[in-house]
This record gives sequence, structure tokens and C-alpha cells, in this order.
Amino acid sequence: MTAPLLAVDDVHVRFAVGGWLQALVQPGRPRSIEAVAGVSFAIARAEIFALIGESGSGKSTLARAVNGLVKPSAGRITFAGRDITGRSDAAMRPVRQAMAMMFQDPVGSLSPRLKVRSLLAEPFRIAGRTGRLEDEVQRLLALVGLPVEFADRYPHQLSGGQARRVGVARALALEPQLVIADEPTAGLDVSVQGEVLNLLRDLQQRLGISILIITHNLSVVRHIAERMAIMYLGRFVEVGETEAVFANPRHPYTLSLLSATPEPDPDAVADRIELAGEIPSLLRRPKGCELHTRCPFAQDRCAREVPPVMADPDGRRFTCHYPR
Amino acid sequence: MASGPILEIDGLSVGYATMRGPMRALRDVSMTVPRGGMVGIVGESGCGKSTLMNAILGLMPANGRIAGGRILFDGRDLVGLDAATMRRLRGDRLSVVFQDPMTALNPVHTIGAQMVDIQYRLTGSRAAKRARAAAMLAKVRMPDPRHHLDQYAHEFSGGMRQRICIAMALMAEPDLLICDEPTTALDATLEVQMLDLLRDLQREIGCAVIFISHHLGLIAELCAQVVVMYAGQVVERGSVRDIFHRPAHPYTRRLLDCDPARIRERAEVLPTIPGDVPDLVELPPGCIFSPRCPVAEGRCHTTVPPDVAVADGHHARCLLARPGEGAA
Repeated sequence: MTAPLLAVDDVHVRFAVGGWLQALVQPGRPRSIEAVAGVSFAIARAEIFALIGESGSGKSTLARAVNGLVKPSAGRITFAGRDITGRSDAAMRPVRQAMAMMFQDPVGSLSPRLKVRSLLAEPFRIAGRTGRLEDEVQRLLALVGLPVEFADRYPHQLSGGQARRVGVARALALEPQLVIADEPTAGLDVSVQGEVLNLLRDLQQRLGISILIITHNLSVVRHIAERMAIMYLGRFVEVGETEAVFANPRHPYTLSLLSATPEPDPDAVADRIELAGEIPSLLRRPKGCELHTRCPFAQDRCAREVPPVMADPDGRRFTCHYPR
Repeated sequence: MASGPILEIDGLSVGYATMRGPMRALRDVSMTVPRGGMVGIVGESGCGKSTLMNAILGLMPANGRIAGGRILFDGRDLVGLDAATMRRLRGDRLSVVFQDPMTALNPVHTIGAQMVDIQYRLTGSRAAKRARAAAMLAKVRMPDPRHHLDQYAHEFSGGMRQRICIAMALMAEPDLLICDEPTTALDATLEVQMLDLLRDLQREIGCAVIFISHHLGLIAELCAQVVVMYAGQVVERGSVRDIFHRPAHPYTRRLLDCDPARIRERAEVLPTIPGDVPDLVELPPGCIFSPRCPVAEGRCHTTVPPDVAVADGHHARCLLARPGEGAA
């Protein structure tokens, strides 16, 4: 087996909360939260890996840690054989050419004052290339299936799907090995969503790039990712092959997420696993299994003991005392 | 009074004045909401969902104008009503839950103050109004409602805020509640909780609901009647089973095909609808969907299709739709 392109090993990300004044007023309150609390995974070359989680699960923070936008407080991140943990911004610069980021808001992440031509030439200039970049611009437009005339448009003249394509083109400009796509389909209409996903998969197959997709939308993941991880309160609760996880989810949280997608069929039987309440605050992590406050299958033991990481023969890992 | 539908929209057309000329945002829109019924409106960006909602509520922007048609609310035409009368209806008999619970509440007043203030039309003491507010919060399943009345919006999570918005919209016991993408800003597990809440409340209170969403799964589960909109027109309407099991309009069929939740097998290439929504200032001749329609024939590009009844209560705007069954 060849070495993975990206290896994340027991990474933690901590954020300080409140100042000294708050510490005086509320002495018992924690001074920091762990947004990512010990996560390990690896992405092979030309693999699509998906991180699933609801708001506050730490999925975006984890992606930012991989890209070096936040510094992990513990753990190790290896990319293309090199340890890149805690590198300075200057030292991250060459790495970021090989690891491109696609940010969430497709229109908001494009400067409204620049034409598509300048937006596509920008990555080259940042990387130190000068001179005429028209050929590169045309190559990128062709790569994501946009007509050449689009080089003269401003972001507000693009539809949501077209703006997404420009975002993909920018990410691909410097021929990265890994693309991190944060919610690539958020805010897109259903009829356009498929277009962006097809494009991403096509590029993965044609160019052999790896993609890390971050999303809360499970139906998106099913058709595009080879493997997926489900996050809750900054930890993985289940990791495995996408098909296997969909066919037979082991963790109750995965099960509830899967059943929370209403089917577009009025006669479908809604046999739903509903979680009680809302996601707890990271300031007060529940004891034992962190899902026990909401889990419909929780027993006494779940409130006391932290469940160990279990593994199935097919390589699936999950943390639950009473897996399904 | 208590007969006939609560809302009947008949041939409604709305235009906006733009620098490029009049934009025909809604064209000949007809739909019916039965008393106590739940009607879903599905459509993608730019289909006219928001314009339709604003027209019903009398909240048209300054450059908007109702060019024709009627909006009969409980038998009375809302088109051309004066601002004061319209204002009286809004909040009292017509209510809305907006998409974004983060911005719908006033950040500098407590929830209790806001919920008391919106009862300004009612007589009674402040204490009685506070009690009503607390009772309403209990109805949307908020634990410990009296305590929550003294809190500010930022102290609540998104899901809780949307519950507060729903409670406020239902305070006046409206006859018609319009929900504009009420769960879009929420996570999947909360979306499901909200779905159950809306269904229970609707049964309890018995008001009619218009549920606007792009989420086909939610509509299928919640609504009895469905209206499909595309580029300013109602292209198809019927019972939820008609729309999901026997779609007669090619657009509806494509839209259903595109929903990844419907595709059970892992698909190599996901279906899409190629092309863009047409320019509503310079309308294409013929059927509005014909430039993107995979089954369009020559006449589709020249003839505007009429609203055809394909079955009892099932209408489609397609030249190829035939009574008795879905089209090509």
C-alpha cells in the first residue's frame, strides 16, 4: 500500500474563550474549548473523502487546520510525505499551491471588483508568475466548462452554478494534488447541484486529484465520496466506506442523520430515528458517550463510560457501546 | 363565510419596472388553498416564489405592480386594497414565518417584550398578554417558557429562534400562515423536529398553511397539495401524489430526477437540467421551459401552452400533457 497523500493523526484544535474578567466572574468556566478533539484519518491519492457534520461539529475547523489556517494544539498533519503541522504562513505558502481551498460562499469568495479573467489569473500572480496569463485563463475556463467570453464578466453577472465553476477553476489553477471543498453545493438549486458534483468527480478522474468534501448534506456524499466520516462535537463517531455506511450505519448518530433526510415520496414510510434537543455546548461536553443526552438508545452505561473505538472487519470504525 | 377556499389566486400577473424594461415576474398564476389545508410551493431560484408571497401579503417593492388577476382571501379581493386595511389583515389573519430566524427577531428587546408588543390590537393587561405569550411558547414545545420571555434573541440557538418565530406568527391565530423556507437555515436533525412541530400545530390550530420550499422531501412529507413554479409561472399543480407519482410536466419530472435523495443507487453521473432560467424581460416565445425541455417539439417553441387539466384537480401547462395521464 502506498503512502496516503494526506494523513491527519490525533489532531486537536483549541480556541480560547472569554478573557480574564470572565474568569474572575465565573471561576468554574473553562478557559478554552476543543473544537476538534482528537481526529485521525488519511486520504489516498485520487480519493474523494467526505466530512459530514451539523453546525458546530468542527468539520470546517478541521479543514482549516489541514490547510494551516488555524494551528492545531496537538497532533500531526502530514501532506505528500512532509510534516506540515504548525508551519508558519510563509512556510505554508508552497504547500498551499498543492492543497487548494474552495470556500463556502461561491459569490462571496470572489471579489466583486474583479473580472473573471483577473480572478483566474490571481493564483498565478500570488505564486510569483508574471507576464501574460491569458492562455492559463482560457485553459481554466475550458477545464470547468465555461465559455471563453466569461473572462469578461464580473461575479454579479454569474449564476450560482457559474460562480461555483469559477471557484473550482481558481482552486485548480496551480494544479493542486488536494482540493478542500467546503460545502460545494450549499445554496445551489437541485438542478445545478448535480452539475458541480459531476464536475468535481470528472476532475478527480481526469487529473487524479484528491478531494476533501465538507458538507452537512448526506445525499450529496452518497454519489461522490468513496469514504466518509461523521463528526459530532469535534470527534469522529463513525468512519467507513460510503456505500457500507449508507447500507448499514452502526452509530445511532449516523442512523439519525440518514433518517433525517425526508424522501421525496409522499408514500414513503417515515421510520425516523429522532434525536432529542440540540447539539450541546462545547463548554459543557456531556460525560461518557457525548451523544447520550440525545440518543434514543442510550442506557445507564452511556452516561458513565466513554465508548471505545470499535472496528468492523471491513475497516469501519465507530464509537458506541450499543452499535446498531 | 366558512365555505370556499381560504385563498384563491386567479390569473395573477406581477411585473417589475427595471432599467431594461418591464420584467414579467409572475404570469397568469392560479392556485387554491383550501381552509385548513397545507399547500407546498416548489421551485428553484428565480421562479417567483418570493414575488408571489409578497403579492399575497401586499408587500410589493416600489417598482412592483400587480398587472392583472385576483387574490381572493376568504372571498375578498386583496388586489387594490388600501394600505391600512391590508395592514389590519396582516398579522391578524395572515401571518408569515421567514427563512432566517437569525434576523427575524429584534436583538435589543427581550422575546417577551416582542411577543407582548405584537398583541397591540388586543385589549387586556400586560400580565395577561405575557401569559398568552408564555402559553404560545409552550405550544411550540419550548421548555420553561416564562423564563425564556426575559431572554434576548442571541441567547437562543437557531432552532429555538425559529420556534419563537413560529410562536409569534401563530399568536393571532391566523387563517393563513405562509412559511417561506422555514427550515433551510437549520440542520437536518432540527429540520425534522420542525417538520413534526409544524404538522402538529397545524392540526391543533387548524389554520391553512402555504409552505414554500426547494426541498422536495419536506413538501412530499408535509403537504397535501403541491404547486410547481418555473420562471414566473405555475407549470403544474395537483395533489402530492399526482406531482410525485404522476408528474405531467417535463420540468417537474426533471426536477424530481435531479433530487439526489431519490437516487438510491450510487450514480456515476448525476442528472441535471442543462441551461439557465430564461430572462423574464425578454421572454422566449412559446413555452417558457421549451429552451431547456428535452422533449420539446417544434410547436413548443412558438405556442404558449394553456393550463390543461390532466386529471381531476391535476393541472399542467404543457402542450404534450394529455388528460388521463402524464405526457412524454
